[in-house]
Amino acid sequence: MLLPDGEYMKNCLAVVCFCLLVPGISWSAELVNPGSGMYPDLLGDESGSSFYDPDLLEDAPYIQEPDELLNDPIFEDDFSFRTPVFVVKDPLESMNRVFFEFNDRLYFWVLKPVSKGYAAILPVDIRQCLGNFFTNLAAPIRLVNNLLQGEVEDAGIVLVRFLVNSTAGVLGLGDPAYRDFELEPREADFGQTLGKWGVNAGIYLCLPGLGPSTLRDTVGFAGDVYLHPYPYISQDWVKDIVYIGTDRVNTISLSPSVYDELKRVSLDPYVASRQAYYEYRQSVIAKQ
Amino acid sequence: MKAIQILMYAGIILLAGSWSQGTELSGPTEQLKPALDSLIVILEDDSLKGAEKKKERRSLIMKEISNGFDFREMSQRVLGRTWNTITPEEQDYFVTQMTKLLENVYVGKLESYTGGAIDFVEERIKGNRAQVTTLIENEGVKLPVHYIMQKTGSKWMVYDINIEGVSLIRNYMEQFRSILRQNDFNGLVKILEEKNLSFAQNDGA
Repeated sequence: MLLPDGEYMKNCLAVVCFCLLVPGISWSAELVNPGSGMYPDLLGDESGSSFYDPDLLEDAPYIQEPDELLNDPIFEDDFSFRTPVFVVKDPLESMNRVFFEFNDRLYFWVLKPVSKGYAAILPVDIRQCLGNFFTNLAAPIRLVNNLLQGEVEDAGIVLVRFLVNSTAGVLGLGDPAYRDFELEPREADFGQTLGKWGVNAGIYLCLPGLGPSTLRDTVGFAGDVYLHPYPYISQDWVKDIVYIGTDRVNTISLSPSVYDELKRVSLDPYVASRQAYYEYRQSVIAKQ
Repeated sequence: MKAIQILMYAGIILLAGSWSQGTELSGPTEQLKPALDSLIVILEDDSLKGAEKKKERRSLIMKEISNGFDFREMSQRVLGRTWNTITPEEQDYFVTQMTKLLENVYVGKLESYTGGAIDFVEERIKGNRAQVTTLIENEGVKLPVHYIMQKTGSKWMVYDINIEGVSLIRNYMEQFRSILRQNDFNGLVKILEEKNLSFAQNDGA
């Protein structure tokens, strides 16, 4: 990403983090803590819980204005009238919609045709190797964030995966850590870390070139950029953009249909992507 | 007299026993599994593959799916309180349009996952609602899909599908809320009809 100058970036980030975290800690009392408030009787439940089994039944009230639904037979018996788990805040909707349109054109006019040509030139196994390489190089982000979240075991797995794949996997092009040792990737990012610490998502943002985000996740993204090793190696923002662009095109060429599918099935793609993003991030943060 | 009483008690106990056994046997997972299995059978049937067989395949799928999926309940939830402001005829028409939309969304998704087995991982029941968690594996990626079900009588019916924390019904509910801010119900139905038409045009070719 655009890193103007190491020292400058460091200062900026320190300021942003400080501003966000210090009030964040005092806020968290009044905010819904996603870790504990969302799925209350998970542990007391006799059917138990596991990684794949978050309790979604507690999440039933799809209600924004509970008072207006009283005496409504549809909602009478199975909805508990409590505050919704979260409400999407989007005061900048008109600006976000402009950027959404921009991203839409960027995808259909540039990224999609380029990745099609790219896929025609490079065979799929080479693209998968490149995908492995990009993922492997971003390991410091997952390592640090797993540690910040207190997931020491996951951090260990990230470290072992990085060491195995960088050596036996030839600079991360292969994934022998999964193939031979069945070590599955452990994702973690700074936006998730902040969420687990009790920082609220804040307002919704659709970022040009980057897509759906929130105020918290934008700060998280800036933090993760800081942890990525490539800018330190390249020392050149043009190379950084090329790196990010190649990563994106490579990813799209391997799983091309996500955005197309969203556009295909939704009546208002902007709202659909916003809602899906919020809920997905919420589940990523609630994950044990 | 006593003998009759004892017989009656015995009968009640027997009845109660068979009753509880009956409900246990047809829990949400037991009811969902055959429905999904028959969908997979249709999707993997070679004689039904290909674009020209799409219509036949889809109608078979819809027949199976309507046994386990409650499209009317989904429509009500998606529309929220607007549901009560429209006439019964409008409600029925909305359900048919919503069924078409969800068919294209869900079956379209299922069709892209052929070959991967569906594992039933967890089941959770609270009152008359249940959550059945399945795991679909596709190219090494395990995708958890939660089916949220409601019991009417002794039948468990799916009314929401949750993939990686994202609720299908709530996603449409939010879209409809946004559309209803600028349009009335008829305007919403028009947008829905256009969407369904676009499926027919894109898929029919």
